[in-house]
Amino acid sequence: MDEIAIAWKALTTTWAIPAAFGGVIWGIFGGALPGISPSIAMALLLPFTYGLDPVTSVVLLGSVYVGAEYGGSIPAILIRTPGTNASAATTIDGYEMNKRGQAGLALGISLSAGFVGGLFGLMMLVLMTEWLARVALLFTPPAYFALGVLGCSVVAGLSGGSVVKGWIAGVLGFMVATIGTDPVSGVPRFTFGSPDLLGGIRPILIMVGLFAVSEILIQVREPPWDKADARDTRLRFPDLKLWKRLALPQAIGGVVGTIEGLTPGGGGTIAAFLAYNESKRWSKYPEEFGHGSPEGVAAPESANNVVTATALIPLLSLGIPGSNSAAILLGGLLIHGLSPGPLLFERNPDVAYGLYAGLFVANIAMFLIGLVILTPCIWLVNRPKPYLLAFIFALVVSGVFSIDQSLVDVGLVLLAGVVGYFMRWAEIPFLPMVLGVVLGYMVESNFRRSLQLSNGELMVFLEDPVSLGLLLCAAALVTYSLMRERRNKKAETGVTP
Amino acid sequence: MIKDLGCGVAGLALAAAYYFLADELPRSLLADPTGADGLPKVLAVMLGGLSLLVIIGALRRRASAYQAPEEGWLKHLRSAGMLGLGVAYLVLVGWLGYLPTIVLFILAVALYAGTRPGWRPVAISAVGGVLLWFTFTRLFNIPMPAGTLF
Repeated sequence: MDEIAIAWKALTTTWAIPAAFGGVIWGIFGGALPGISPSIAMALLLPFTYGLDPVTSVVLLGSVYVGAEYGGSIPAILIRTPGTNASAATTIDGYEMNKRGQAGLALGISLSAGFVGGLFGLMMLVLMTEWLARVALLFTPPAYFALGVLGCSVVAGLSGGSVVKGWIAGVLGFMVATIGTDPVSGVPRFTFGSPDLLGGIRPILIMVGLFAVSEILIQVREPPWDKADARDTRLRFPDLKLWKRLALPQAIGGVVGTIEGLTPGGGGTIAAFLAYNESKRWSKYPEEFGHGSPEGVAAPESANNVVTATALIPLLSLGIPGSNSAAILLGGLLIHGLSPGPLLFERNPDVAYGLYAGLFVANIAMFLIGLVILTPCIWLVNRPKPYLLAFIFALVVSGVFSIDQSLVDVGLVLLAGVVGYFMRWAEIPFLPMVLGVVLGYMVESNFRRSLQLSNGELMVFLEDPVSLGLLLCAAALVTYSLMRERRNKKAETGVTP
Repeated sequence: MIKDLGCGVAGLALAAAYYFLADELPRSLLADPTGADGLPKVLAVMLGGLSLLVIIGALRRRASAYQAPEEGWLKHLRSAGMLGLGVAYLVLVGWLGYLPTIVLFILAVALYAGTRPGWRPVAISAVGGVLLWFTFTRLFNIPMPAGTLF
């Protein structure tokens, strides 16, 4: 009951409710624009959260994530262009329904399945996060080091195609984290005499640069996307008979979304495709899949909305972001000097429970706003791309300056954008780098602190049971990822002539 | 293959430079056995090793399989031009101040991204710039860059 009281207070004494509605609107618009992923929509808002109180700030970012997942399905259904990666699976049957004149029904299924999925995911978040966080309260400096190592071992699973490139990205992130004053001796490292770098580089600058600026640099060379047809797109919800038929794919989406959200690197995209495949396997009408099946819309939309909540479980309980959007939310917490992980529930329960309550409001807001936002969304998607790019770029350079009133920060974001552009070209994933930037300080400072406490004895990491357990988990994760990559390569070789 | 080779060579160069800079770090009397240069040197060696793996992998795949066509360099030049506009903003904003620079910036990016020149982009940029200026300076009370001229 105390938790509900804290959540209610956090919700009613701050701007969290307007932030939830505002975040959802921003998220739906962002998600509806092809190329603007949920993480980019969140990253664009990140600088603005600096002046807000912590509860409002995290609710705003979480709500953008919720809204963006629904927004992504709008162009997926209307113009066969997924607004977000996770809505790619929706394109398959959503666009087919549109061709049959059922765009309104497809959008209605997407909205209702997303709403149900979002609430289910939130329930999982509430049930699982604090339990995991309580375990993490037993942590000592060696255990924190081991937790950092566990976080880094996730890199292998986040690497997409190549584990080696994932590790390169992770090392680059660690390198960025070493810039600034040394945590033990106070020696300035890699600052080149600049006082602006003494405090290190804020993770937010790296995130905005990697995600938003590199996307702008890519989009300027791409042709404009198709125009959406505003006719025959009145939102229509499924009737009772169809609801019954959609119950199973929604449940499949719920289970798959929970598992994928908990798995670092899983994310909404994999969840959506897995849910689509499983729904097809369990469906009474598998032959309709690919030709406009309503189940083919409900399953992926349910799954990717479940992930919006469950992806936050490893972040809030252990401080490890398992997806790009969770990493941006982490940036929002760090801006306010909050450390996600076991101590968040002890020291800042208002933020943790306020986020839960805010996400609940955000899901309701998504449903209500989703009923009326379709026309403005279609209008926005049809705006000339050059103006959209110009305003997004202007927002980035203005917003980044507003954090510390520093033009050096703007320069650093542009530099991070160039790094992000190169990484995209070289097919190096972003998330391991973000992980390195965020975890670098924790790993280094706790490693050195542990050695100081144990007079240089490395065995301290194996004598602490929590540390030993986490290190074993890390070793298991790396081994599993390497085996999986090897298996995938073998399969590819078998297919390639 | 060019992508992987480029990635590997860039990684090796960065690793070497980073190791050199780490080695130059001053020693502190307060330093622990690991030292301020301990982690950076390990990272440099790791990056060097991983970059070598990427290069070896690229060379082994050479001519063994179908190679996807590389993107034209003109595309990269177009992206570089966009980045140049960002750098121009950085240079100009300290001179002209926020409002005139952001209006010019929106106009320049829109034109560069393909809008036809005319009064319409000028008007949209002006309205957009004023809106951003109002949001930051009046709504959020955030002081934006002041120029030496305005």
